[in-house]
Amino acid sequence: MKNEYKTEYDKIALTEAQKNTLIAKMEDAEQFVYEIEKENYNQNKVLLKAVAACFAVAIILGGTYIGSMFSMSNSTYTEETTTPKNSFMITANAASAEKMPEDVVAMFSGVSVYGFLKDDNYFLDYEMSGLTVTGCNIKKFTMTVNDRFCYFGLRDKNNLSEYKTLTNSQYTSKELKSAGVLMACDGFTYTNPLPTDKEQVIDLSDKVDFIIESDRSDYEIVECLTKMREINDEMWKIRAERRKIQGESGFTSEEEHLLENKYDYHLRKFMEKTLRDATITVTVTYTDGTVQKQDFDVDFILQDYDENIIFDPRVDEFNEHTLLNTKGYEWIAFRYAE
Amino acid sequence: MNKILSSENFITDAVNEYSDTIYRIAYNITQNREDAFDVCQEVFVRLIHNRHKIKNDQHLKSWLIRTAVNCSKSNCTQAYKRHSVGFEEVKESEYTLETGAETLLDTIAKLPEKYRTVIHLHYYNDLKIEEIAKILSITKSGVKTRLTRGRKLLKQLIEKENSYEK
Repeated sequence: MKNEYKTEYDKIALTEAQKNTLIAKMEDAEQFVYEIEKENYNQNKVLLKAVAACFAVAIILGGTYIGSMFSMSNSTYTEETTTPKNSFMITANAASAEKMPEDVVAMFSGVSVYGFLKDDNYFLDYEMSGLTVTGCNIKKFTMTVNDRFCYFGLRDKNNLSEYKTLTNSQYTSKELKSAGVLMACDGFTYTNPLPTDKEQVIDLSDKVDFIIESDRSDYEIVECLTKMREINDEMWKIRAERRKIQGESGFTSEEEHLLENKYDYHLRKFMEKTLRDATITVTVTYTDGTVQKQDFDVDFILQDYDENIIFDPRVDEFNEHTLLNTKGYEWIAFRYAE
Repeated sequence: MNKILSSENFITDAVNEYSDTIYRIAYNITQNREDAFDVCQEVFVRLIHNRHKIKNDQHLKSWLIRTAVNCSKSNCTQAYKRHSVGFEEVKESEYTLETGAETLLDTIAKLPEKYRTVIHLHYYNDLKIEEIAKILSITKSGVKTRLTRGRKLLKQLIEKENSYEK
C-alpha cells in the first residue's frame, strides 16, 4: 500500500509552467526584499542605539514581571495542611509556539479551529490539541468557564458534529443545546479512575474543545458577523469570476488578499471582544480531601508568520491597523489570572 | 555539504528541489490544487524573509516542511473556505462518481486532516516518528497514536468501499 500511495502521490506535482512562474515570482520577491533591506540599512544604523536602550529597559521590566509571575497568588487551598505531593498543572502545546509569552500554560492554535452557523449564531470551535492535566494524587477535577458565550465541548473525536460526554466525566453546569441536541457545556468534572501519588498525565487531547458563541445582543459582535458574511459572499463572487477567466491555476488577486485581510480583521475583533473577560477555573480535589482552585485567563493572542506576537491583550491595545494588515496565526491561550 | 544554502541561486535551487514536496504536503492538507499552489508561494516568500535563520540544507528541508504544514492549515481555516466547496472539489468528486474508480488517494482524502498529515509525512516523505514530532510540535507518542488511528480508520474505509463494490 505504501508503494501504491507513493506512486499515486508522485503524479501530484507542479507543472513545468507553474514551476517556472513560481521561480520567476520568487526571484522578483527576493530582489524586492533585497532592495527594501538595503534601503532600511542606513536608517537602522541611526536607530540602533535607541533600540539598544529600549531593550535594556525592557529586560529590567521583564525580569521584574517574570519574578512576580510565578507567585501564583490566585491559587487557593481550602486547607492549609496540604500534602506536598499534591499537585496539578494544565498544559497544551502546538506548533509555532516558541515565541509565546512565558506565562502561557496552554494554548490552542487557530489552525485547529472551525466555524459554523447554528440557529443564526456563529460558533468557533477550537480543538484543544495536546491538553493534559498532570499531577499527583488527583482524585477529580472540575473545569468551568465564567463567560456566558464560552463553552467546553466534550466530543467524540471521530464525529465532529456529535458531542458526547467524556469517559469518567459529567457535565456540572449549563448545557448548550441546539434543537434538543447537546452541543457543549460550561463546566465538567473528570474523575480520575486510578489516582496515584506518582506523577500522572491525564490526556484530554482531542477530547475537549473550547467553543465560542457569538453574543447576538452585542452590537459590535453582530456588526463583525454581518461584515464577515458580506466579505464571504464578495470573495466567492470574485473567486468564481477569476476561475472562469484564469482556470484553476490562476493567482489569487490583490483584491482577494485585501478581502481576506478584512475578513480576518473582523474575526479577530469578534474573538478579542468575546474573550476579553473570559476566565476558566480549575478545581482539583486530591485523594486526601484537600481542594485546590486556580483561575486562568483566556486570552486571544496573535502571531505573525515569523511567530512574533503582534497582539497580546495584556500588553497591547486593540490596534485596527496592525490587525487589519498582518497575516498570521490566531491563538487561544490560558495563563494564570491576573 | 550545504549545496542549496550556499548556492548563488539559492531561491531558484530551493524551488527546484522542494516545490513538489511542498505542493504535495499542501495538497494533502488542503485537498485543492489551487490552494496548494498558493501555499507554495506563501512558503517560499517566507523562506526569502527567513533565510538567515536556516542553518544547513537538512534544516532547510525540515523548515520548509514545517512551514508548509502551518501555511496549509492556516489556509484551510480561512472561514470563507471552510463553508464552501471549491469548483475543483466538485469536479473531482463528480469525476469519481462518473468513473466509479476510487483511488487510494481518494480514500485517504476522507481521513481527518491530522491523520492524513502524519501518514503523508511518514509514508511519502519517509520521515521518522521523531522528525514528525518535531515538525508538528507534538509528542512522539502523539505521532504514533495518529499513525495507528489513521491506519485503522483507513482500513475501515477500504473495507467499507470494497463491500460496496461487491
